[in-house]
Amino acid sequence: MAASKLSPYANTKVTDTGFLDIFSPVPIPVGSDDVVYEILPAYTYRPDLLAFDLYGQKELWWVFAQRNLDVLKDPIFDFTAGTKIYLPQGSNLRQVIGF
Amino acid sequence: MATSGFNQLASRVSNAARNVSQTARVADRFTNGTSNTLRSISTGGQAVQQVSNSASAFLNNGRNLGSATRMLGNKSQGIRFNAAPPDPDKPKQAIVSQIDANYSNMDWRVSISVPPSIGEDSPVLAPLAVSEAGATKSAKMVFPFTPTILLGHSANYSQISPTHTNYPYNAYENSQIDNLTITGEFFNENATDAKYWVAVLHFLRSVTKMYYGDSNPQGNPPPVCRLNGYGPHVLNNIPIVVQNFTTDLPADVDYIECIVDGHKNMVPVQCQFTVTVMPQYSRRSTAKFSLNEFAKGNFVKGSEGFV
Repeated sequence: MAASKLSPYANTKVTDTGFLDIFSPVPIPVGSDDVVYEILPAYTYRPDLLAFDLYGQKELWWVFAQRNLDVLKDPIFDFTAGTKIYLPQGSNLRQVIGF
Repeated sequence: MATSGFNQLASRVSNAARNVSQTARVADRFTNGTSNTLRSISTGGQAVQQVSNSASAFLNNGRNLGSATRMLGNKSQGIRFNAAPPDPDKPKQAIVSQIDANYSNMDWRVSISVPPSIGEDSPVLAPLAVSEAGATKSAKMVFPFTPTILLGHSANYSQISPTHTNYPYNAYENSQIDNLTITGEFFNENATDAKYWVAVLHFLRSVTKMYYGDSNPQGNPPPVCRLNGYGPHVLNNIPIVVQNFTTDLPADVDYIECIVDGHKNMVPVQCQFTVTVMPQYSRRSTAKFSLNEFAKGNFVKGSEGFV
């Protein structure tokens, strides 16, 4: 069964034996006017909350790590208050992910 | 005797009937009151239900109360739903070359234009504003005394020297305009001159920096200016970037005071600015270059200052 299009594994194939193949990341587009954002304490370790607040989809928790690969090595535990990240724009995400 | 007894009985019956009537009225009033009370309770219940419905609708409207509270915090950083840019009505602009700069047939002084992206609303750069007739733009840095300018043009060739030949062949590689070095004296005799000197220093500092951090447009390199001087056939509106500038604050001269933006500054009465600039033609404008037209001198009247 293929992963949901909102999943970070949307591009990753499933082998015949039912296991996920080698991870193929979903590229998050870099907008020239992406906004720099300092993570608030309310979102510490909770990228799902920020994804819900910004895009209305908690399933998109992984897009922040994918957009800020050099800052958020760990999508959850590097998501701490005061960290500055770029926020991918919802319009770009809709275009790429199609939610 | 019998009549009297009958009258007493009738009177009692009448009193009893009156009491029953009063009791009924009281009961009726009580019933009405209860009904009103029940009606009031019912009305109150409806109001409570309406509030509950409103709250429920608010909470279930895709964005719950916690989300709304957190978004208030995000709003302090200018973050809105969808992470859209802070001000969509005013998109961040790219720096465009200031094509018509400050070219004026009346003014043959050597000048470097101040790009509007940094010159607008700057009290420090205000002395650079142009006021004379014929100037089409608002600000430029003029060398107040005739500067010394070093300029050069190069055509580069690589030499191909086959074995056993007397004359090597020169294979053309490219041409270039070398960096221009402008050295100008500044003599500051009064506070107005001093303010101008401060503005020049601040301008040259500004155009050697990129749009870093919180700048807008963020990430752009230093702005492109225009160099003019001595007429259109000499320094004709050349797009330049400032590569380097040096000035001196000599120990053997007096310093005069000037107030810039409410702050006192001391400025040497005599000093020298040396500015090194690099011609910076855009790819699009060089695509319109024609050597035939250039040789005829037609680019002198054009918008791009090919030299």
